[in-house]
Amino acid sequence: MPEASAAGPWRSAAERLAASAAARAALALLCGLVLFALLAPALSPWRPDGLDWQHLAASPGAAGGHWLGTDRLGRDLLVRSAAGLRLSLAVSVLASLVSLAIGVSYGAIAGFAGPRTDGAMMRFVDVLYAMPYLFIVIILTSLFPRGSLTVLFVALGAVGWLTTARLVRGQARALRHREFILAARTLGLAPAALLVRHAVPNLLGPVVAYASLAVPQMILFEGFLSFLGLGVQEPNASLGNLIAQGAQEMSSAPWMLIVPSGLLVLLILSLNLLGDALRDALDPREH
Amino acid sequence: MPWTPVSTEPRGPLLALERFGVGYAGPASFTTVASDIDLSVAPGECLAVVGESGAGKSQLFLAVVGLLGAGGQVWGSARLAGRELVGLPEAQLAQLRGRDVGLVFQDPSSALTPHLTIGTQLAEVRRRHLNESARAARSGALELLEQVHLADAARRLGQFPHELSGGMRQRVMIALALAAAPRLLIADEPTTALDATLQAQILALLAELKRARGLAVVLITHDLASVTGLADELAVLRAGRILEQGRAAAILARPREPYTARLIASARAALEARPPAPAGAGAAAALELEAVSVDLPVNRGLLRRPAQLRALDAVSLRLAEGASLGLVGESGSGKSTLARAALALLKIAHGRIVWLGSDPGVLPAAQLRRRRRDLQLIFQDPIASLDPRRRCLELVTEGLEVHEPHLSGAERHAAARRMLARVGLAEELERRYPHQLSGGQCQRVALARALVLSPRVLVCDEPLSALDAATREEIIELIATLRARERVSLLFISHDLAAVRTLCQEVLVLYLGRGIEQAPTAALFAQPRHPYTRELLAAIPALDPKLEAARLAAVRTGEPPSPLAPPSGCHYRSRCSYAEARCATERPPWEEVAPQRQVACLRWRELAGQL
Amino acid sequence: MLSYALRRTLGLLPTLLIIITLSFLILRLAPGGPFDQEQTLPPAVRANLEHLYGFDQPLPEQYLRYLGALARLDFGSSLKERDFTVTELIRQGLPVSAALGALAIVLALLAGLPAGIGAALGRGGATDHLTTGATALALALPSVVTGPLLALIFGLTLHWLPVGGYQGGSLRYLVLPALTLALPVAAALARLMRASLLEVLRTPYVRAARARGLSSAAVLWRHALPAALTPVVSYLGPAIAFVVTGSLVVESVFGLPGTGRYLVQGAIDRDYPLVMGMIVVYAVLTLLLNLAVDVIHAALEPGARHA
Repeated sequence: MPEASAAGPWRSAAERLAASAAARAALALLCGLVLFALLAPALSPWRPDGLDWQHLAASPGAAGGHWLGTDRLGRDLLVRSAAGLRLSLAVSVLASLVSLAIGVSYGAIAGFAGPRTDGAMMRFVDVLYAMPYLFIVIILTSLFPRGSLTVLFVALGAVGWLTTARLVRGQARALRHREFILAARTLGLAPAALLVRHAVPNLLGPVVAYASLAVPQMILFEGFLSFLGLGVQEPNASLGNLIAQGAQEMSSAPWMLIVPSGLLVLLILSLNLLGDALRDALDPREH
Repeated sequence: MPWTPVSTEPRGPLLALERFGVGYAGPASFTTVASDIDLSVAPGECLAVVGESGAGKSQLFLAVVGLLGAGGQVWGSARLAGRELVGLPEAQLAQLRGRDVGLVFQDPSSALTPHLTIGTQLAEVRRRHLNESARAARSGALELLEQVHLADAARRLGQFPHELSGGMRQRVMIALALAAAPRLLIADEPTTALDATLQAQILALLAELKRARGLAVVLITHDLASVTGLADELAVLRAGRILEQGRAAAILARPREPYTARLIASARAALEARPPAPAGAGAAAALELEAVSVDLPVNRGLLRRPAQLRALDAVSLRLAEGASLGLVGESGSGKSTLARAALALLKIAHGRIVWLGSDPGVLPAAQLRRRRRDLQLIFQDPIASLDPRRRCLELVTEGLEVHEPHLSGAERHAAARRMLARVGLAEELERRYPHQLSGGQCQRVALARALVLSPRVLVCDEPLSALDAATREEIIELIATLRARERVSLLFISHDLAAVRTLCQEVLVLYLGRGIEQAPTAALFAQPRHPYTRELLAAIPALDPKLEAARLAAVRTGEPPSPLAPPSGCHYRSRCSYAEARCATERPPWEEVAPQRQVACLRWRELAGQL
Repeated sequence: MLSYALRRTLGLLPTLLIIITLSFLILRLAPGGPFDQEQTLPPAVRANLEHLYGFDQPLPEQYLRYLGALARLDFGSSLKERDFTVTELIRQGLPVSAALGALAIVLALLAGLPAGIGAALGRGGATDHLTTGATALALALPSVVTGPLLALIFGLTLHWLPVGGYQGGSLRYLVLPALTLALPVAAALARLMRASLLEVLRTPYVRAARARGLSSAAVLWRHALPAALTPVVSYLGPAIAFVVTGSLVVESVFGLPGTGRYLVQGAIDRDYPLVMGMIVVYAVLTLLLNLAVDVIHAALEPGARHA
């Protein structure tokens, strides 16, 4: 029966999100990390590629102002990690946005198209899915100068959109037969207007929740590529290649592994928690 | 405490509720669903609990057996054959459920576990409560299905719920509830989701079970008319409290409360309404279907290719300008398909559609979209037909944005407000979202959305099925008023003959995708020419308990055949008491038997006097 | 059911063909060739080598020749390890990778499903919160971190399991790598199982089953779980894909002689036959496994609608 509040679906979702303790904690952690990534270089006297010959592979402490220690070449780990965090975050968020945009459009169109178009579009997705993705990335990375951010960006975006497209298409197919979509047709709405005005807003719920989990996946994948030597190259720092270097020095200089790993774990944890809270908030049936 | 069986020699009422109450503890507050309930059910008798949706009827009885959701609380006393249920631990309540009390729920399509066969689900209950061996349970299951008159029972045991129709599933639900031979059956809106003919059959089944087994029944419903043949006691529930209760016959004859009197009066009015007089022939046609056939693909699971179902088979209809035509039929008759085909929302396999004189099939897409404003559609599920992310006012102005782009925003809003006022939606509701409105209010918004475009034809596809009895009456009145005021032609689709009778000048009856009779309403009700029409009319409940009891006793079991494999010749012959040999080989032609009357029956002449 | 499975298997052939063709094209059209990395060869020697391997012929001809060889299951010889045919290399490495992958999936299922069920049943309680926290952490740890960490704890400190290598093919060498791989998959499965079970427990038919007085165990195992497993089965497809790509890192961290390095190194080296061979094997495996998942899906859900 009628409720008193006039809050719309998005607004009540936002309210539920704000009420969740886990969401607030995750958001606080995320903001803390972002602040660290942005401010640390400004606050420290060291630059990410600055070499300190006097403190090679120094352990964390106040020696020479290296709060988190240095690596083999004497570069300050705190500043380098902050730079790495910045890079990883920026690339992943951008790549996620691009893959989402492509995925949502593709999926929505396929979901609302006729059976033949839909079949063809999804067959294309299936084939791409079965392709050994890593292999394509490897080839792509060799087409461009090593360490180019463009190719990393393209490679990351290229994998994400497939899953989004599948997800959105499934949602769109279910949505298509709902009465309010049919009602919009009887009103005489053109197909494009119908998609944009009625379909997409109702599709976005699950997509937003998925997106919040896509960013951490991108970050992990970037780390994975860099670990294999295919992503960000020296002297640039990303969390991935910092971890790769740290793994090699694990027994002698463990902080080289712990610092970037710790940051990575915290970042992904906060994003995952936030994503979970978002998903719960957007699904009114939970409450 | 060990479980003690309910005594088999009950003295006094089987179920007695005393100062019983139910509520939910929410995050911030406590909501009382029902309070101060004093009710009793004698063994072998039927108590009907009547009230609007949301009055708390279902929650009340779910609470008695301990099936409330999280945060639910119960107080007062509830005794089953003398044994107190309130405060009983869950383990003992679980033993009680199924064994002493059987429950039947409203929606048969979602209350059966989809991945288990019927036989497994039935046998399971018997083994649980009666400790039978697997073989005994299986034959017990077969017996149960036969007792609920499920055709082809042996085969059904191995089938899954989705392979059965709605009526069949409801019979299975009843069989499941009775599997362990309980003394009490609680049926929560058991027939609301069913057609009139199936409704009659299920009610007849309950009546028979009550007689044969001495079963006590609690029948929860919002539809007063449907329980008159079954109820010994009647309780009217309003806003969580009992308004009036007593012997059913007494209350129906002399209600004490004005609310009860209103319920009875509206049920009666629907049955005794005088249909509007038919318009003369000669007016131009607003909407015409000429021998239209529609094929729909039907999925048969992942493993098989979809079959083609002939949802509509050469159906013709003519809706004159300013007239009102009712379309009647059971589920599977093709009514909704016809509505969508008439509005060019589906592809037609054969035949032609004519909108106000021209054929929409030949129009280019953009022009077709512009013509759509002339024919609008109201849907069955009012909440689902509105975009959940838009406010009511926006929903109504959207059509104007498309078809009258020259209007300014303020003008559109003004026009929308006027229309919303005309459909009786309070002004403060215009900024609400659909999920915050009741079904009736949503249907009003849908009407406003359709009529703001000043269409010439309004097609209503079962607009009342999802509403409860009181709201139905309001919406029927609303549609009648609007039709006169806005001067639209009305195509009113429903399985509810009573509603059709009030609103429509003429009626067309469909069966399994074919038109079988068309006549002016009064003539159809007084003198049906087709055996199926006769059967439909017999399914309308009367309000007199004696008449009702007799009517239910006369109901015959007859499931509609599967639309995928309809009988040859005349589709209706498998249920028809007058079928002959030639009915299986010849398809009855759609012929004119009198001015403005058509029938498709090979024997109409001979049966003229008998029906 | 059998005819369905057969039909679907045959339907995979066109997809496989497309994958082979695309990969072939990408590999050949990418700049660089298999002989670039070696010490600079005199042009004449290089031309000879290219002629020997048929690289100087027009591309369509090379493609058709390759298809022909494939039909005879002849993958050719590796260009880098010229003493070995691709088939032999794959035969050496595949059992290791396959065993690793299979063990990882099994461990993930054994750990993840019960955890998810427990969390759903104990909703809002300690088990639930613990599981949510643990899974969040497990999903955040990349294998490059967990691998060395597990090796450190169980290998170097406790001496329970070997730290790396693969002597004699004993299963003990696969435990830590499989655990590393399995961790995120187990976490995802637990969450999925939990969410799915919670949803199923709310359905009308579960309520109706309880209304019939069935025991909670019967309701859970017979009525709720089979329905709740559907999304979990759907997830198996992406899970397998994850395990396959993840095994690259794990193999490298633990020094296992699997097939992962063939793909990476082969692509970098432009070792055409090896890479193509790996792609074909990988593609066939993925397609077949996805098909298996679909078939299980169909079996679990009678009357599943296939829009």
